This record gives sequence, C-alpha cells and structure tokens, in this order.
Amino acid sequence: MTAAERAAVLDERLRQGYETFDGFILSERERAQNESNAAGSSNPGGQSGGSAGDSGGGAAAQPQTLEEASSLPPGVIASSRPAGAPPAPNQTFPPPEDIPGGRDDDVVARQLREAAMSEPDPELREALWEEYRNYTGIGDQQ
Amino acid sequence: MKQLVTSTLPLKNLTGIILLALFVSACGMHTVKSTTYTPVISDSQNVPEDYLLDVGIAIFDPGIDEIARGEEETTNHEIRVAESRYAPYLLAETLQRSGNWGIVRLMPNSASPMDVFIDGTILQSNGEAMSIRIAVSDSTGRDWYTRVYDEVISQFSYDPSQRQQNDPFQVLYNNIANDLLMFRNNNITVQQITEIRNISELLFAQRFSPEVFDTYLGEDRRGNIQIVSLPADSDPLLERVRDIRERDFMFIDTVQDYYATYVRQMRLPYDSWRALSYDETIELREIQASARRNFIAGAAAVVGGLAAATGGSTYASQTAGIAGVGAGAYLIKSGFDKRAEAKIHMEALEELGQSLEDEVAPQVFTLDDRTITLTGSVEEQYLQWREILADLYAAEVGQL
Repeated sequence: MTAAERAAVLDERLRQGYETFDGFILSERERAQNESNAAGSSNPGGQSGGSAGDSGGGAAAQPQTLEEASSLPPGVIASSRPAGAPPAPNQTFPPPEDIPGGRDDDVVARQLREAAMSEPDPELREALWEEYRNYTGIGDQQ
Repeated sequence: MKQLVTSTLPLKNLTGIILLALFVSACGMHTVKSTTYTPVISDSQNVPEDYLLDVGIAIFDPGIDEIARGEEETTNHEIRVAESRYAPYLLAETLQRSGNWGIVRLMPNSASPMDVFIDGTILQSNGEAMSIRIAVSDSTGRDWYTRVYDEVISQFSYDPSQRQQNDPFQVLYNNIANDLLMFRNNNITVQQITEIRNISELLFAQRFSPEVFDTYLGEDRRGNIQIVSLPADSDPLLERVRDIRERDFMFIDTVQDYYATYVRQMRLPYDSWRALSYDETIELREIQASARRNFIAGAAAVVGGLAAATGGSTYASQTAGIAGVGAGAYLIKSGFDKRAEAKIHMEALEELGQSLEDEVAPQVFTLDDRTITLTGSVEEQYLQWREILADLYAAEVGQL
C-alpha cells in the first residue's frame, strides 16, 4: 500500500468516526433538550424528595456510549429512547432524499438539520430543510 | 458643701455609664442596600464575528475553605456545591445575552481551550448577600484581572414580579459582564484578539497532533504563550483538526443542555430557600448584634455599678451603684436570652439548608455523573482520532 493509499484509508476511518460521533452527540443533545424542556414546564418545587429518578436523572438518563451509537448504520441518528419506554414527545423525522449525510455540516448547518429532523409540523419542517439547502448550497449545485 | 460636690460626682459618672450602656444596647445596626439596577451593557461597536472572543467559564469553586468564621454554622456545603454549578451558568447566560462575545459556555473540564477563561469562587451566599471572586485570563495565559463582586439585595428582589424577569442577584452577573467588556475594550487590541483566537486553535490542534503543532507555539519572557509561526490556512491536518474542534463544541453544547436542565430543576427550590434564608439571616444578624450590645452594655453597667457601690462615699452613690449592677445584670440576662433566640434562628437556617440539600444534592450527583460519562465516551473517541492523525502525519511525511 502506498503512502497516499494509506492516507486515504485513514481519512475514511476519520470520516466514519465523525459520522458515529455526530449521531451519538445529536441523539444525546436531543434527549438532553427534551429533558430540559420537561424540567422547564414542570414545577421543580413539586418534586418532593428530589430523587435522581424523579428529576429525570438516574440510570435512565445516562448518556449512551459511543459503542451503542456506532452499532447503528452510519448516518442514522441513534434513538435515545430506551426499549419499552413511552414515546418521546419529540420524534425524529428522516431527512428528504436530496439531503446528503451531514458529515460536512458546520455548526449552523448542523443546527438547521437538527431542528428540521425534530420538527413535527411538515410545512415548517420543509421550510427548515429549504433553509438548510440554501445555507449549504445544495440547491445551487443541482 | 465640698463633700456634697465630691459625693455627687460618682453618682453623675454612674448615671452616665448606665445611660451610655442603655444607649448602646438600644442602638441598631443598619445595612445599606442598593436598589439601583445596573443593566448589562451591549457593546456599541459593531464587532465582526471573526473578532468576537469565545468565553469558557469553569465550574465555580464552592469556596468551602474560605467560609467566614461567623458563617460556618449557617453555610451548607452541599448547597454551596450546587450553587457552584448554578451561578456560572447564569453568568454564561448573561455574557451570551450581552452579544459582546462569541460563544460563551460552561466548560465540563479544562481540556478544551477557549479564548477567554473565567474562574470563580463563591465567597458568600445566604439569600441576602452574595460575594464571588472572579479571575479572568486568556488563551495566551495572560491574567486579565481578579476582582471580588459583592451584592446585598433587598426583599424586593424576591418579589414574584421581579423574579419573573431576573435572578435576585442578576446585578452581580451584569457587573461582571460589564467589567469584562470594559477590560476588553480598553486593553485588548484587534491584533491581540486575532492572536488569542489563533492560539486557542493551535492549543486545540496541539492536543490532537502535538508532533505537528508543537512547533507553532512558544513562550515569551513572562511565560505567556506566543505564536512562533502559523500553519497555512489550507493545511490538510489543520482542516482535520478544525473538523474535530467543531465536534468538540458539539460535545460542550450537549453539556450545556445538561446544565440547562439542572438550573431549571434547581431554580424554584433554590429561590424559595434564598427568600426564606434572607429573612432568617437578617433576623439572626440583628439578634446577634443586639445580644452583643446587651453583653457589652451590661458588663459596663455592672463594672460601673460595682465601683460606685463599693467605693461610693455616700449612701446615694452606693444605692445608685447597686441599681447600676442590677441594670447591668438585667442587660446581661437579656443578652443570654437573645443568644438563645439567635440559636433558634441558626437552627431554622440549618433546617432550611438541609431541606434544600435533600432536593438538590441528587440533581448535582446526576449532573456530574452524566457529564463525566459523556466526557469519558468523547475522550475515548478523541483518543482514536489522535492515533489516526498521528498515522496520517506519518503517511504524509512519507509521501514527501
């Protein structure tokens, strides 16, 4: 294997690592934001005793590990919902077909992608994806 | 006649002592509280985004080792620890809201370099007063300043209408934010901002590929970091490090969400505790001061009375001396009563603290546990990336 070929293999490993990491972090953020919203809408003072379980903490709130996230196909956002738990208030909606994997997204694009994927209103979701296309220049390339 | 004059002198002195003692015992202590609200200042200059410095705030030191002697009994250590995660989040929010900075984040650890770094130590927090020591530095290692911020608030700050808008001690955070802006505007040039930002990036790059990026940084005579040379903006290794840094920001953002949850959970019980602690703290201070005054005045009256009773040359002065001793004894007894009353308030404060501790301690544990777990997972991934970058460097050097 030449040095150039070896560099290409290593670059590919790096990219795969990014994809796993992005999926892992995005799902963890989604879960953390849901919990934050739930904490904001509930009355914390009413949580008598305040045990870890009551406050959304404890074992159920543990972040998943990268191994768990990496067991999913690349580009798939790992579900943060444990099996048997009730559905999370914010579902994740898959991106439209023309949207590529987000490995080259910068912070703004990633936030747009994240907002679009968690938006339940189809019209608003499409508007967010349109904004994503405009920002990343997908429309210009086609 | 001469004897009459000399015999009335001790009587006058004694009356003076007793009156002075009574006056001292009646004097109250007053604390001046500021009711003016200092808003956070937004910089009038329209600074381009490339010149905005990113700010990292460390979890505050709870200041357990620096608790004042008189406050040891009424300061709950677990609440201090909870506050050391609550207060820096409010400061981060204040700085971010000011619009004067790039991203402002509460840092899970010190591994990720930021342009400006803020360390804080809580020196006092009892609902009525808050005192925080703030130390600011930048990525070059230069210390900007260390200052202590004190704020004593009025009961009005706990009024629900006020509380809807701001934290009761928001002025303290605003003052910190305004000082930081003023320091930056008066002391940091645009050229220095560029240098600080470049150094932050190179420090991060060093963390992932030291074999490459160590050569770009050196130290000046003061021991501060300086740039020796800059890599090309299109350097492929630097581009890869930038990709990783974006992911590091994502990790830090996730931790912000943990903190947001924590702050929201803590806010109501913490505010209730502060409002109740405010009343108890004031009552306790006034009673303790009153007890102290009674002891001093009582002792003075007893001493004066004894002197007159034993040394008085007339029946009147001796009688007055005995009366003075009686009055002094009464004041001393009253001092003991006040001390017992103060103990009740101290116990009330301890109970209040225990109640909040029961509520927030598990939340602190959960917050720290989640942060450590996530950091561990992320660090594991970073280790792999470091190895890949080292192999890539070796492969690219081999290509040359």
